[in-house]
Amino acid sequence: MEDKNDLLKVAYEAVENSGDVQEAITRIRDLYGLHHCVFHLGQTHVDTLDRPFVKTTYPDAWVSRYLLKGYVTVDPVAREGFLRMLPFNWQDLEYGEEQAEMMRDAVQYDVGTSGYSIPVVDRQARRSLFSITSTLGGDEWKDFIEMNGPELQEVAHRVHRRALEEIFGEVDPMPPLGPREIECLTWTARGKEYTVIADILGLSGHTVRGYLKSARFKLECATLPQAVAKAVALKIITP
Amino acid sequence: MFFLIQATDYNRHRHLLDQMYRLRKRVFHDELEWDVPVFGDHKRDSYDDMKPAYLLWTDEQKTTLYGSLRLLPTTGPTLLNDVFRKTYPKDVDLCHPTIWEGTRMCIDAEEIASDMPEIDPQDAMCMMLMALAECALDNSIHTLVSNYEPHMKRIYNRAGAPLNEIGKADGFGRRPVCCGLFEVSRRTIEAMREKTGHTGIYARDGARRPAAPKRAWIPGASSSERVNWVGAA
Repeated sequence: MEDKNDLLKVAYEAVENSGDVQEAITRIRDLYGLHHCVFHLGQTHVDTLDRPFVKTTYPDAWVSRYLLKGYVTVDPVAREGFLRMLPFNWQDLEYGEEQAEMMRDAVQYDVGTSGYSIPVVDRQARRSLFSITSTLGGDEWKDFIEMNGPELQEVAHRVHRRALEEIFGEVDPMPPLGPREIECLTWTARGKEYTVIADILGLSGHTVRGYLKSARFKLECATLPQAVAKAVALKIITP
Repeated sequence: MFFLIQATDYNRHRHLLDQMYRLRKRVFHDELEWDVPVFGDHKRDSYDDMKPAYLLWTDEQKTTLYGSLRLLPTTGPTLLNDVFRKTYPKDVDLCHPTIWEGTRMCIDAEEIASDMPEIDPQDAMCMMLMALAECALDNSIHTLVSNYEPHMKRIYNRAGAPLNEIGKADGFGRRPVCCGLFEVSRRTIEAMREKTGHTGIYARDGARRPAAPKRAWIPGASSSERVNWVGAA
């Protein structure tokens, strides 16, 4: 459990400390031992971009090929990714003849043999798609996603905010903490485990964990100690 | 069968979505008298434009709708946060990719009574909750935030579904509306399975699976088939 937390912590730092989104996804790829990462910010009527914001670690040869073959209109990941809300495995996509051919071509160009995409939606209803590929397959890939999927969803949101910063120079604040989140965080600051906090506040342990997860996410921290420290620094809680 | 449809599959299941909007109008506007937007005989709100995932319960041919529920991630705009903000404590405003909002849960008691008379409305609700929990676990959802009328607590209880009430408000309908957190984990699903006797009723590939040949689906009678739905995915 400790190790897993450390990985997310390093991932948050990698996104935070990178010079740009390109560097961030490259570091995330290396950190999780992935084959490639792609980040694609969706167009919304709120924000109009001059050109699509897509960052990828794919080989240049594949990017050229993709454009040359006009795969942008074929690509089932891009087509379904902005319609779906839940993360999905690429094997669950709908493949026609063209799509199957494109995916075979992609494998030839070293894109990877398995893929997983995470749709991101924020409070302003802006969307993006964070995709990862791997050379793992079968059960190994399934296990990898089961173990790292929820964590990578958080990473996807971090990259999303990083991209908004890069494009617009600033990003709107995360939602404020609610009273229960503040209470749970305060008791955490006083060294109480979530089961103890649950007893103190008359909530279930799972509910306390939910509030703490949400508080940590709103504070944009990978670990609870970091979230506590940040909340103290921002004078949201007094331990 | 119980399955999810996302925006990729709205078109091929347009008739089911139409039934869903009409059912929601009957349940929430006509019966519960909630103050909700209605267009003709449809009940739609702006959150239906957010490309939500819907959990549907239909017959094997996917022609008749028995129940529905709408799922949205709490990282984005959500009904409970936006609409209930004035009356609920801020506690409702959770935000995390693995915490989702489940709203507009309803069943068509008449269709169920006519097609599956052995299932009473309370059992039907329990089955919706069971399918919801299975579907959430399958999609790495850790917690569901839901709104419900007070009497629904008995149903959650009957389904063995752990529910933590976090807010309550008057003024939406005839009765108060509550907001609660529904825990999803392997442990809670096991407990629900034991209590309800239902297991593996959520079909991961349901939206895109070819419709089955026409015949009655009797829950409990074809357990081997239902296990296959999960195994096939």
